[in-house]
Amino acid sequence: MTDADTRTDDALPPLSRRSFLRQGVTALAGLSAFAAALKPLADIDPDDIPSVEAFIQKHYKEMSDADMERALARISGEVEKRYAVAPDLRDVKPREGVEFVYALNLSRCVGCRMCVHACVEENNQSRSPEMQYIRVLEMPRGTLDPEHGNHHYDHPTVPDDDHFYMPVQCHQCANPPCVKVCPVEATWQEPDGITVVDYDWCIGCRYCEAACPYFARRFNFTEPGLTSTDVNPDMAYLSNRPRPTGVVEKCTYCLQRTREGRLPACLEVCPVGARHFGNVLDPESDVSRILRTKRVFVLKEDVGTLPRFFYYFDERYPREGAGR
Amino acid sequence: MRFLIPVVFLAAAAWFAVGSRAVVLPETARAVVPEGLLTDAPPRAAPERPTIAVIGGVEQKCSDCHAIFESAGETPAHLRQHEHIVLDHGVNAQCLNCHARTGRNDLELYGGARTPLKESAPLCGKCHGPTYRDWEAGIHGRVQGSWDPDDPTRRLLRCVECHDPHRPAFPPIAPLPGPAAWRAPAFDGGATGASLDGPLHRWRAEGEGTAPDREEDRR
Repeated sequence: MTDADTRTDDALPPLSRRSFLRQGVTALAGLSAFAAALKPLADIDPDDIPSVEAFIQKHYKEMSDADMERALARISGEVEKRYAVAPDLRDVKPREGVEFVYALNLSRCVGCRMCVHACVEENNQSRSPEMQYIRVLEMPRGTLDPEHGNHHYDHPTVPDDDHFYMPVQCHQCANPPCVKVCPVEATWQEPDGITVVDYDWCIGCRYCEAACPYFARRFNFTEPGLTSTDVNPDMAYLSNRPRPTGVVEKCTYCLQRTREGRLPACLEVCPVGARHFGNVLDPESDVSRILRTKRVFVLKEDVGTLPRFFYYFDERYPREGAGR
Repeated sequence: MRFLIPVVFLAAAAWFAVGSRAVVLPETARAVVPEGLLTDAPPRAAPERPTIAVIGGVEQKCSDCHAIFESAGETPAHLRQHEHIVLDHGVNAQCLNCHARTGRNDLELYGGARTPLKESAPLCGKCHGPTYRDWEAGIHGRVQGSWDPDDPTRRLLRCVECHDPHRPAFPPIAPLPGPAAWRAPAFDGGATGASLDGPLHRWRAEGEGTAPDREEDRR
């Protein structure tokens, strides 16, 4: 026997019938499991596979005007292909000297949830499963404990005499915890105070959703259920363009409207005029006057988020059973 | 014993390949929002003048009759005329508190000054001072058009475009559907296996959407 033969015998033990079966079955099982694990790929809609263009797209803040133009054209094409609606998609920039603030009069709110559904229609939210940015909490009169707020109330008519209503949505904090926790800087605060998400940069880790003390962020677990009749073609890159699966989204104070001077959708439909919106840097705006003349408060002041969303009661707290 | 490992793998692989399906979420019924409800249109049409009577196919102004029929200085709340008007305005139960006695197409302010029916704000402000002050400052009532005070499309609705002056309180309305995403189904009495003490249902007392009334919650 030579040295080479000995080494070969050490490295490869003789292939017995038993070891052949054992290794063969193990290899087959491994291959089968691998194939089974890849099986969901067969169900993928080719439209869901991101294009190379989408893959190499830069972060919103690093895009040049030409990059943005290309991105808008690509997204418009995708929306048109999927929903058969030609969108008016644009990148709406913040205005100089504007900082948006919301003020909500809790004495007026009747809990009708019109704001909730106007928001869904305006912002192309998923209808199934349903996604709502605004929650209206119902709390017993004489309390102010959102922990015991019920957002599933279903009285035949509202307001209920024993309760008051508190709509909660994104507070567009000046010290936003959701922005701090994002590992990829896919969400940030704009100069006009609105916290936005670049849906093409979001990796879907949901840290921001967990960090938000107001439950203002929503995650797309599935393909958003949106039909072509649902689509609102008035879209902005940073707000209500249709979102893909696996990204986080949130209220943007309807920046596609408000940055062009219009009012947020939730305010426009409020039947009792409980909602007020405007530029806090303008001393003559509604919200500046409210902040000066009303006793306003913010939700969870103690967590230090500095919300841009204020609540207040009128001087006259509604009398029991007196309507509003 | 080691022989079992590949068998388990094979069984799992067979199950994944044949038995598994893509995760399909339960379909929830879509929220029904009545057509045309979500609008920024004024809730009521502010009357240029009230059409009280149609006589001989012609709409008659209030003053057409009241030029002939002089009415008493103090009208009682329940008239034999104008019975269709339900006056439910708190202590303000006299027609002539607001309507001008000698010029029925208008409303009467202090000192006999007149204001048209749809420009009622100064009259309403006689009693509703703080609300009138807020409305003048743009912080009471509905806004249309723009948040920007300098934008010409911005419009603040007038009192009577939302409130019926004869019954100014808003009637109760039916709420639109609340959140019904699959992960927060409405509590159905235990069929889902969810307990009333679970985190999603802690607030729900038996069968009602009310706050809990339990010993530890009252503390």
